[in-house]
Amino acid sequence: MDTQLKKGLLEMCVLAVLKRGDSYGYQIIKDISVCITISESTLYPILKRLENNGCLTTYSVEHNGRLRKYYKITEVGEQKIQEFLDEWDQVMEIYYFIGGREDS
Amino acid sequence: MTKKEFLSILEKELDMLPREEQNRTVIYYEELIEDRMEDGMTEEEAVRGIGNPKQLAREVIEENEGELWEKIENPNHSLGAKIGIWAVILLGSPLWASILFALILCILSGYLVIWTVPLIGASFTLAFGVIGVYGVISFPFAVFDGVGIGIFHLGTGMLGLGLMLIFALSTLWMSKKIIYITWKFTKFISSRFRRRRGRA
Repeated sequence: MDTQLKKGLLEMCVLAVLKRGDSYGYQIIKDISVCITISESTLYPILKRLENNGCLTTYSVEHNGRLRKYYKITEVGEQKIQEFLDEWDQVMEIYYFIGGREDS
Repeated sequence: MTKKEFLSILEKELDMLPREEQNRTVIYYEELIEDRMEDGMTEEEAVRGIGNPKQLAREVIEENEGELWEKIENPNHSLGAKIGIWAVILLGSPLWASILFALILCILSGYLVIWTVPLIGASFTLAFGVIGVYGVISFPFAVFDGVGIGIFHLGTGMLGLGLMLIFALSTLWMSKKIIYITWKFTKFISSRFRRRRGRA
């Protein structure tokens, strides 16, 4: 898939996973992987960017004697998900325009 | 590779980044390795599945550079910072303003020098035009002094008109070229001042 497109979609996937509940790196990767392949190295900059944009916050929880970083979606993040879903009709129009097949 | 080896290579390769970035990245990957081991993998498998630490470090550095460019082009200056920046610019104006002024004058004088060429061409056009018109108009009158003289007037007149045309066309062509080059140059200068689009 086109890298730029994939990056944008993966950001949405991460937010969607977090919307279901706070999560940590490894779990996020497992949850997303049922839908689309994502590697550890791909996830890292996405998490950074989402945090810089205010879409998520982080906190640490102790687990088996070490600290685990948890990510939590913010209101801004939830808004971004909604915007993405609202824009989807437009994306489909472009898809058909380019030549995608219509399910009659 | 053991977890320790992986993390120490990663840390070393990230040395050029700010300490905070370096730590954050190492912590992220350490946590991942630990979680993978908890999930049942051996240390060897957990580390191998993540990738090559040098490659990963390179990707983090590249991503970091991209973020830096974004910050440079879209700085979120506070009002105080903005006032401070303008104050410094104002205070330094005697220096940079005079240099800028001198530079502008140089460019303008260079421009003026370039335009003297079409100016000369225009002068020749006018001169030959005058000669040409005079020669042709005076021809019928000059004949009274002698056919030879009359023909001479006519000939000079036609020569003048011809040369006038040649100079007129050359001057026009040259002027167009100079105007075009000036326009391109202006666009080039203004594009340098516009915000450069950073890497997506």
